[in-house]
Amino acid sequence: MLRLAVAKGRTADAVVNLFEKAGIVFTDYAHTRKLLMRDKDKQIELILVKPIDTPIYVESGAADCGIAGLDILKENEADIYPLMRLDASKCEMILAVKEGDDITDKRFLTVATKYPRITQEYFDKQNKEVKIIHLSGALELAPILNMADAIVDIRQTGKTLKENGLIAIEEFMDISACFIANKVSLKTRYAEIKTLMDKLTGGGAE
Amino acid sequence: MNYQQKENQILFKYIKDKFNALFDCYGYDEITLPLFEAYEKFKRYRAVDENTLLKLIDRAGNILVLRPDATFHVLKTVETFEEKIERCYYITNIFRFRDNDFEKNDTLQAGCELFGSPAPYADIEVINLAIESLRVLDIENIHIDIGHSKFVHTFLKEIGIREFREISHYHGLVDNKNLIALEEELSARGTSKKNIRQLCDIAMLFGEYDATMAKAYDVCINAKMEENLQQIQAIYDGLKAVGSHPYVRLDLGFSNPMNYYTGMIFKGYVSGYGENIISGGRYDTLARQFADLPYACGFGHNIDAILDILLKRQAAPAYKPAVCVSGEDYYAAAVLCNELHKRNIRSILSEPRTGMPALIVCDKAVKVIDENGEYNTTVEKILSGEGGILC
Repeated sequence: MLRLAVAKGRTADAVVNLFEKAGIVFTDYAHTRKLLMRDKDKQIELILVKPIDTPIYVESGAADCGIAGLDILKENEADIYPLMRLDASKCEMILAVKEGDDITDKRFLTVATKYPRITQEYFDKQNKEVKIIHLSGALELAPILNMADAIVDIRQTGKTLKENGLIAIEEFMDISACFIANKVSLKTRYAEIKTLMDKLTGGGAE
Repeated sequence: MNYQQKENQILFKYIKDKFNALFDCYGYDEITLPLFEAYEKFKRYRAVDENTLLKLIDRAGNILVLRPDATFHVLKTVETFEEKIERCYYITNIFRFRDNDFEKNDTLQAGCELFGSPAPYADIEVINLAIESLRVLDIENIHIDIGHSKFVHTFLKEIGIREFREISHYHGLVDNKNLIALEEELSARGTSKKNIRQLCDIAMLFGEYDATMAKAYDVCINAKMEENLQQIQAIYDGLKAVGSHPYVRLDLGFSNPMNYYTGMIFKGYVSGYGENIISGGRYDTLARQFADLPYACGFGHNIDAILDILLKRQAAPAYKPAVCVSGEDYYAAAVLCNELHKRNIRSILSEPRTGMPALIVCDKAVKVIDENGEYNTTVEKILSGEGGILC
């Protein structure tokens, strides 16, 4: 039985839906708080983990494969195989400022983000000096309180930005859920992993 | 290596003894490698990531590099030999920055190098020896992935990726099976969908030898790639002839961070263990550049990983107990102990200890205490091999 680590919450909801379409049903999923469950036919063991931990479970071999957001994979380099994007949990990585602010000519920027690595790479590519403030949530507050000139974050609906008077001035990365595999598991259990990948993409994956 | 655990020390000796016997039997000469190299000289050797080097500064202000890779030092060492060497091996420490925990920066490596032949039999010999080296340690569930260092390289060149840094970058993506980045970055570069699909297929070209080889011809886009496959086939045929082929699989999607390989490359794995424990291949260009030797192939063991595997599998074998020699007459005991040393018997001057055989000397008589109980014999009989203590 393959063990699959999936980020709790939106990603897990989307993945369970994808599985259902492929005929793999997790009957317990909707009405339990269990973190470990098997599908009806006992092909897959699903472990529900904190999004940021998904690659760690896969890298260590505690899970054979996993599903994590591209933002998590880019921010935390793990020794895993990132095999494909899935049609789930889509959003964008954006740079946003207070409505009416213009940062184009600013030589030095202060940016608040949950993603310091992605942010640093983004500004490095533009040869722009930047001071990064690493926050763990509610980034929108940083420009409002003049703690930062801008924020780098993922945008799902844009509602939070709008309600807090922020506006995205650039979208620079398409994020989606990605299928990842443990390096040894991919070699030793390739047939099972390939079948699972095919099911997640509706038959024609790779 | 974790030096603090005695089990590690005992197992390391066990591995060394097994390797010494095996490599010697295959005609490999043991060599000892220098620890330092002048940074200025080492710079020319681009196979090791600069950021991983551990450096020292001597009193004159020269920068020295602690041995970060064995192959370079093997080549620099054998280059100085008057008589060209054909086969050599080493068991040594490698120093590379991996972590602030400095224990992880000091790892143990063993390796064998075979010089002077471009023929597949040399590749076959080293792969076969690599397999044997794990078998002598009773490590089962071994598998060896063989590939060709030029296969991905040739493909990349053919689709217009020619600059060194770009080639290394895409090699890395193929090696890490990062199909997501491969698709996105190549699309952005304007590479055709067909070529992207082929490169992703190459990244996933691994598995049972015959089936994978059959698929490999479908992704060849020029004659050179087909030649690479033919070279691998010749090696596989040889491994089949010597019966090592059940351990061998094909993987055309891996490269090596040591980007000096020029032909066949291979990695050894043990099922259930997350890292590769052997890595090797052919490195003719490097051998020419640094040792004036036309051809070379070889492999290295990750001994820390092997120690890990053996420790998980079994309790460490104990050192062979020494014979404790004692007696009221200290000098008589010392003379007997000395005679035992001359006969290669592991012995110490000591009062009897639990779990160790003992000889108590009293003039010419000797009381033996061993696993069979206690009995009396003479010094003469002990030294002539009677009484079993010398076995």
